[in-house]
Amino acid sequence: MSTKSQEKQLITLKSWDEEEFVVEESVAVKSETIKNIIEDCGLELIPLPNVDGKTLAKVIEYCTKHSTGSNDDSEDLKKFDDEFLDSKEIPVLIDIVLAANYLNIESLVEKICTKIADRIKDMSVEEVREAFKIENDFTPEEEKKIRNEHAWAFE
Amino acid sequence: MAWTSQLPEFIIQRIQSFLSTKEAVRCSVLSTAWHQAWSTSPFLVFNQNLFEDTTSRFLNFVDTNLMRYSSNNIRINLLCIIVVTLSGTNLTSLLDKWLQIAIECGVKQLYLSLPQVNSLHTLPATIYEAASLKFLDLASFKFDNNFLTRTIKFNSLRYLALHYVYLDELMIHKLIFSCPLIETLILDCCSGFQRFQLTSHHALKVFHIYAKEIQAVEIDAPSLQSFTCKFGRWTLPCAIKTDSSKHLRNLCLKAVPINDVFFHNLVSKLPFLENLNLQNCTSLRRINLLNHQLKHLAINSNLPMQMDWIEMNTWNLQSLHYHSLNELPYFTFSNNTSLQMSSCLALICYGDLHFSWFCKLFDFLKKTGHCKVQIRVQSHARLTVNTAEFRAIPVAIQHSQVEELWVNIWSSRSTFETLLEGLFWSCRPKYLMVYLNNGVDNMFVDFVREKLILERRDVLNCCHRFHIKCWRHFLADVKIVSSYETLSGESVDETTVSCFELNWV
Repeated sequence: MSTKSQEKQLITLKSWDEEEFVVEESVAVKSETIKNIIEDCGLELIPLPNVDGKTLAKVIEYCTKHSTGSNDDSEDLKKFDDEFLDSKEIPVLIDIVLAANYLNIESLVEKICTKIADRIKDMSVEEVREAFKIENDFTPEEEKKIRNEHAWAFE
Repeated sequence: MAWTSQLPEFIIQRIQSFLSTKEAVRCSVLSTAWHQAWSTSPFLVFNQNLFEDTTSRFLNFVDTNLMRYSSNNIRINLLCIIVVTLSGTNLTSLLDKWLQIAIECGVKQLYLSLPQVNSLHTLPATIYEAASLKFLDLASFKFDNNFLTRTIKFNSLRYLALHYVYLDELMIHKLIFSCPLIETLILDCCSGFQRFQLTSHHALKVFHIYAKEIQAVEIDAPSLQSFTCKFGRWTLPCAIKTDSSKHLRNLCLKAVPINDVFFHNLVSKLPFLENLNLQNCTSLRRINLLNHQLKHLAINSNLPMQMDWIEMNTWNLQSLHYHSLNELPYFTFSNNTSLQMSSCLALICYGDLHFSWFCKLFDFLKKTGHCKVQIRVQSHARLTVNTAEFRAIPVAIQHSQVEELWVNIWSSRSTFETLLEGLFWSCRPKYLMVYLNNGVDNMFVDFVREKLILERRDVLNCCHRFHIKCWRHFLADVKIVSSYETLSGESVDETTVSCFELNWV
């Protein structure tokens, strides 16, 4: 276990594409996954093979902002969250939510899912497919069947 | 590149859980993966408000889906059923069946809402078997006659909210006794009891109670952080005891007929209080706040208040809101209350204004000189003031800076003119916002502009007889602002509000 000193403990996080980020421990442990690794193994350089550098940078941005100690309900944080998430396209949000899921940062996963849901609300089925790059693997008959079964939803 | 086929199923389900039933169903057609995710989603929300079809189709839809979950043994984490209209179907037996299924599927969060009718539905007894339940939110139910003798297995329950539920004191006692781990308890618009007593509850953190007939609330909950209490009647004698809740951070009292002594007894025992919200507490006259951790104070009333004096010894204060009909108390800030620059003080007044209001406003501004103040006035009745009286107020400009002055146009122009006159005698706003309830009236805006800008031409002539000059002599410049972000964070522009920037000498 690393000894706790008066100075802030620094942790290095390494993405799968070899990008390294040095962060304070208090920021890194916003991720339950990282927190467990530190507690169990006491590592100071933590490899994260499931996250790429670009996405990791954004996750760290979120965690840094959310470890300033102020109340999670504060106006500033809410504003930051809105700006942070609204400015990103869906593919980017998906990258971040996958990373946040892997790193076990519950609050970020929830916020992103809410934002994505908000965006989907106003989109047509085709628009969602395009935004998420979803391949329609239904046969036309299958798709028709579902649409008929729930006709009230597709008016 | 179909990388979202790599989206784990539960993330898809999570996203779907934030969609309405209709939207989630539409998503199920995106691909087989999304359909699979939707049809096995552990989050089931059936909200009749968002279901555009008949009641019987809605109930059928709920039934079919729940039956499908039951026969396929699919886990349910959250089940929410909101019924808005009853069409005479035998809902009780359906509810019973659905609850049975939910419990078999391991439901953790359950929200059940029925329409408010005179004869409340009885809660099916199956629910008491839900040992896995953590969240329970019920609306418009009553408990059955055998409730007191039943075994209730709410051992995991953390959150319990009852809306429009009828229950008596024995039932409450039994219910709470059955949930030892409960952290949040909400009794909203419940009836059937006059006293509420909670003894030795170590886990309770949040407690809201609004009960029309309530007279006494006694809580022994050392971990309590948030307490909101709303009474239904104004004149009953009442008692609130929260002696052991020393860690209380948020206190909200609505329409509670407590007097000064009682209030002091209550609040002085709360050294960690951060948010204090008093609504329609019309029996208060003079209050003294010694709570050093207090960050936000809000006093609202749409009834006549008789608040004379508020003494504040609160140096961590970040915001102060005072909304009342037409009176302001005197505020006293002790020497070590240093209101921070970011403090937002909002005084809102909507009613007949008398001269004393303006005096107290001036006094308030003198005492809070370096803070940003927002004043909103909606006055539509006759004002009983005349200019001569205003000259008696010794205006010291450095003490009367106001960041934003909002004036709502209700009345005739002459009333509005007098109102502006009075306001400018009492304060020097940096931004003046003029608005109607339904947008901007261009003619009125022109009138205001005239009054402020053009009238200054005659400035030298108006006060030559007087030692104390009127406000016009101090108004150096007026600009029209096309868009502005207010102290409370909203953005306004010329379509909603007319904003003038005033530069004072």
